Parts: sequence; C-alpha cells; structure tokens
Amino acid sequence: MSMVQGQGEPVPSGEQDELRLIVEFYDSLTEEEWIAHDEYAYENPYTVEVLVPKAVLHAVRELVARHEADNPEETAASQAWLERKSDGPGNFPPGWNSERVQRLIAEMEAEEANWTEEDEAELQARMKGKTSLQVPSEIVPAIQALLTQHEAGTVATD
Amino acid sequence: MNLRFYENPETGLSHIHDHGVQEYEVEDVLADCIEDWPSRRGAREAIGQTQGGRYIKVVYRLDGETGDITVITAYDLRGSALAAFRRRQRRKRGR
Repeated sequence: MSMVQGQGEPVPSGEQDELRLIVEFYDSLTEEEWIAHDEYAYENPYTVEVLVPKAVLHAVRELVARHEADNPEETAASQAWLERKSDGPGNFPPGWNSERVQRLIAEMEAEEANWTEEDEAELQARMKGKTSLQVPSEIVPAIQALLTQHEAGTVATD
Repeated sequence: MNLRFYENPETGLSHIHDHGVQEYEVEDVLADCIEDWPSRRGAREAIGQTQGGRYIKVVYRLDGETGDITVITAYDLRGSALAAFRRRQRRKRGR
C-alpha cells in the first residue's frame, strides 16, 4: 500500500501497476535516451510553451488536468505521440539516436564555454519565480484569462 | 496542494528515496519549478532547483478533479542531462 504524505489519500491499488510501469520506463533509460526524451517533449505538436508565475502554477496545472480529462481524444493523440519510439537501436523517440545526442552534447559544451557569469545572472533574474510550462494549445486562452485575473489581483493564488 | 508518493513495493518507502531524493526536495521543485511538460501515460515531468541547490526532475501525475499530485519518482539532474536543461534555458533567453 502506498503511503500518503500529510492529508492525502493512499494511491489506489488499481493505479499501482500503471505507476510501476512509469517507474520502470524511467529507470531503464540511459543518459543519452533521457536527454533525447526531454528534447523530444519540446517537439510535441500538441503543446505550446507558456511562462507562468509561481503564484498561479498549481492553478494552471489544474486547468491543464481538467482540460485533458474533458478532451480525451486530443489527450490520447498527444499521449500516442509521446509513446512513439524510434525504429533504431535503444529506447529513443522518433528522430533521435545516440549520434544525434552526441552532436547535441558537443553543441552544449561549446555554448557553455561562451556562457558568461553575466549571462547566467541575467537568465536567472528573468526566469526567477516563473515556470516554463508545456500545455495543450487549446487551453492557452483560458490560461491567459487566468494570468490576467492574477495580474488584476482577482484570482486565488497558491 | 496535496502530495502523495508512490512507494517502492520492495522497500515500503517512497520511490524517490531509491534515487536519493527527499520529500521536501520534491515539494520545493513542484512549488517553484523551472520547466514542466507532459510525459508518458498521463504523467508530467518537472525540473527545478531545491532550496539546497540541487537540480531535480520530478515525475508526477495530477488529478484533475481533486488537484492532488501523485509523485511517481524523482531523479538528480546532473551530467549531460543537466547541461541539456541549461541549454534549453539559454535558448529561452530573449523571448
């Protein structure tokens, strides 16, 4: 039986097998596969990126979860896309393989070498208190409305 | 935000402990993460920095009806995976 922290409920037994499969997937990934899956997630055609202030992060997450529950066909299509696998060796998503990851790592190392402390400080300041959230495209207007309410001080925050 | 943690059935402990991650670190990251995106089987992944300075990836599910979060597992982000995360952040610069 899964434990609950604080006031939550136990993880239902019917959910245990599903969660175990998710854990097994992540535990099986090599570092290269892990990087490929993270990058692939940002290629998801069903989602767009929004910047969300920390104060409304959980409210936006709940909007997304409700939207996904209310739109099962769209959610299933996005999930099917995420579950796709490369035909090549390893557990890579489509379009990815070890060679592509190694090229990415070489690019990263070159960029890191040119990245200054000032660059880092500017980036940290700009992103402080904000989350880059990938959300279903259709829900963006609802999120924008929530952000407008937040800026006007008319929405409950976390 | 109610959190519950998936347990490793072999240890009876939260699976996050298998990767050296503590519950309070998961709370830090979920409350103020840097990236958050949908993943497989209805899960999401969130990357953020704990108050102690560690970069952690949290795999979780959110119940749309109750708003409760089930934390499935979590990992230290390091090496090339951390560098890839930093690269994505640099690319957001100037947006």
